[in-house]
Amino acid sequence: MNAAGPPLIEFREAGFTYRRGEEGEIPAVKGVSLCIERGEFVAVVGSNGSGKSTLAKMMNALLVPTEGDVVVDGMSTADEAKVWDIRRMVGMVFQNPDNQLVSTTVEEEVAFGLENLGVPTDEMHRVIDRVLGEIGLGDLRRREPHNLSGGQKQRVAIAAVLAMQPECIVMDEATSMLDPRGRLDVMETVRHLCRDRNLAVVFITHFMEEAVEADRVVVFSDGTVATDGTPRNVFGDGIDLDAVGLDVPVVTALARGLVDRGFGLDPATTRLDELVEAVCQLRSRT
Amino acid sequence: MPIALENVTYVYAPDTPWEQEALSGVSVEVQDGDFLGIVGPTGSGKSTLIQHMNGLLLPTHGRVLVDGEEVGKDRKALRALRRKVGMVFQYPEHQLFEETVEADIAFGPKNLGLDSDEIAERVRWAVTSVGLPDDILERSPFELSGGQMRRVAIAGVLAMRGTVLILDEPTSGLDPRGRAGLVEQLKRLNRAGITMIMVSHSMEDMAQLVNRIVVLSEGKVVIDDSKRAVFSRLEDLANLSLDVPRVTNVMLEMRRAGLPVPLDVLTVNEGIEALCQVLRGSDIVEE
Repeated sequence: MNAAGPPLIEFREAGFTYRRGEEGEIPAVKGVSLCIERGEFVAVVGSNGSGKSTLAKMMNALLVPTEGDVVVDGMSTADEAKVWDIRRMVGMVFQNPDNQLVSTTVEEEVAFGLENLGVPTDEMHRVIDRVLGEIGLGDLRRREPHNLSGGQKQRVAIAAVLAMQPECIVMDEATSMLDPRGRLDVMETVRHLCRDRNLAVVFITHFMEEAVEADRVVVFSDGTVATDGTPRNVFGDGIDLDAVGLDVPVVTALARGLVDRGFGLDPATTRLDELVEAVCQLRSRT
Repeated sequence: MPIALENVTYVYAPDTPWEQEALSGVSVEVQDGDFLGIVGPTGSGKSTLIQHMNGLLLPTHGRVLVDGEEVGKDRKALRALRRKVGMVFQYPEHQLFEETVEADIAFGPKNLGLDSDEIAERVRWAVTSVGLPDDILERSPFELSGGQMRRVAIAGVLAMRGTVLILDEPTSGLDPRGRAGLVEQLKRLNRAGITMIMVSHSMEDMAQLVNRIVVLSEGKVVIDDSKRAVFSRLEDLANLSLDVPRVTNVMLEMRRAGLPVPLDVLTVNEGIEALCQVLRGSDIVEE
């Protein structure tokens, strides 16, 4: 993580109200202050209707706050002159893989954004080769996106964002429509982006098993940040997850159950390997 | 109203370059009151299979018997069949279109030509059956949460008063609370006597809901057994890139680390029990 300079994304008491000033206005995000740093893997969890998708769209100026400010690398998302710089810097991958692919082949999909930027052809081919190789889509480059599996489509969407050399990828429930295989592949890709590329990833999900993999978990509830911390803090005992409509990860539920039965292990255990190790130790100690 | 597929083969686009056999000699039986789960990788024929159960597709070879009658013999009987065997497609809330929840649920019964009292009664019964409050009827379906919209869509199928309900990925995309609520309602409907058939990638849904699981692969039934028996065949499931419930997976990792835990564990409580036994059991051995 690079601590120098301003945060990559900063919410300054930012809010967003749909139909503001009209009858039936809906305040979806309310006075949120939150920073996303470079290279960070942040999971945002919350129930349907908690405002987490609105929060996501505020990160790259798809929605401009109706109160407060959102600042990306020093640029306000309300500054229309900066919108394209902001969107290049913070890319988005959405929930439905069928709604975001526009081209007839995988490589054209990746080229789309580069063409719009006016990148010279030679350079463009180099970027496409690199990005497709990196995401493991090299063999599929001439395939039609709509014939791919859901997981492959989402990886094409990630590759297209990656070609723009962003600092951050925001994934808005990008795994929720995928089968288990597709979900694993996308998670693997996300891990690679964070660890090997030092990209910031904001990962919006309601699968707690995915959230425990992040460096940091932000629990969003009723338009505000209910809690913000490491997975251990958040899932351990930081908050009543049931009250905000979320599950405890299975590993944590098992650890808590064993603690309740009088066994000495950490009730905040979130990772499977930690739980296995704790149980093995308990067993050898007796 | 039992359903039996006998040696069913289904070919899409026969005699064209796109010809594809989606089901190959499939035999499956569903008894009254069953809660049958159907799992399989993407493209294994799950959707094709369920569409045979209410006559949306007719077999290329073999036959489907519903209540002892062969489906498709009498074309006129197909409409009645689709009424008795309701189908809830994936993301059914995308098909909501009326201005109020009430109008949306009433749409099917109205088409049956029922009188308005009967329609009102069915609408109220259906909305209660999916665990939604009466006062939701006046609202627009489009201002509801995802979980509520899903339930309204299911209520619309229930209002046809079928005896069998087929659900394709009913919990997909719902948050944990919406999912838990829907799972409870589906359990209740099954207990009330509605036969349920569910396709899902979510092994958590399977663990909580079904009593029997049919596993499909490349258009064939490869496993047909009780839920517990199916989830203990970890290797077979892994070979088909299918998941097991998360808690079952935890037990598998414990086993790999040398702990003698059982693998047929499907709920968190069973998991805690199993781990307690391993830990207490070792107390006894060591002391």
